[in-house]
Amino acid sequence: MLTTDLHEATVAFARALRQAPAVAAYRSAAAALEADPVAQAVLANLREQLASVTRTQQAGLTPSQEQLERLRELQAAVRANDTVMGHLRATNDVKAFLPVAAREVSAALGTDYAALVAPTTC
Amino acid sequence: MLYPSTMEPADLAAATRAAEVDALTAAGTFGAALRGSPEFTGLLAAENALAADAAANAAIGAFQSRQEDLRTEVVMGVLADDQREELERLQAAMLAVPSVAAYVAATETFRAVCRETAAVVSAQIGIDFAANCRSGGCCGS
Repeated sequence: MLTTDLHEATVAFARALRQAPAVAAYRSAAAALEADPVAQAVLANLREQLASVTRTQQAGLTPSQEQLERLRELQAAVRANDTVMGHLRATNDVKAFLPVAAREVSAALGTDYAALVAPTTC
Repeated sequence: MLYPSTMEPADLAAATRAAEVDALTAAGTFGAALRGSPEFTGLLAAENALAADAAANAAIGAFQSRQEDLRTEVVMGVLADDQREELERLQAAMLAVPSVAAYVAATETFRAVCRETAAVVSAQIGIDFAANCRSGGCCGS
């Protein structure tokens, strides 16, 4: 349970972070992807084909020419989809910015905030 | 911030930069608030008590030294039963020292507070803050 002061500081930080360009752009790109069934289908098809190729390889077999051809087609479809590419770029940008913000937190705290909050799987 | 499409490019760039600076300033304020929390104060006190406790440091040293000796076996997954038992015994002895136990508990308490703050941030920004605090994700350097 956070103290009132800490809760207020956390919310103020979160709100400022939400307004930061990288985060705002990410939210916008995520909403665009959410609203675009074609883009979602392009991504889902690629994931499905990647999983199929991976299963083939894990079974000790070589993926067929047809499988690889289909994979290349789907990769090209992803690259040609503005919504998906916009989401990928925004995701990369926000993943680059959040560590910068976390380092500011750590500098003020005097210890590594990122290490403290890291999921236990790490 | 003004709606971007109504702004000149130079104004937009300045507003964008200002929003980023605001976020980083707020990050510093948030970090300072975390530092002022009772849980962090408790952690510092536990750390100081631990540093002043010779018995605790001897127990920690004994465990760490043996752990270092057996690092290769642990990494290779070939630790013998008697070696595992020895490590477990040294670890249990270390954790049984009151100042060590208090430090471990204080660390976990503060970690829980930090995770709670990260959950608040994640809910606001729509992306897992805890998992993305490090370059390359939570396992990154």
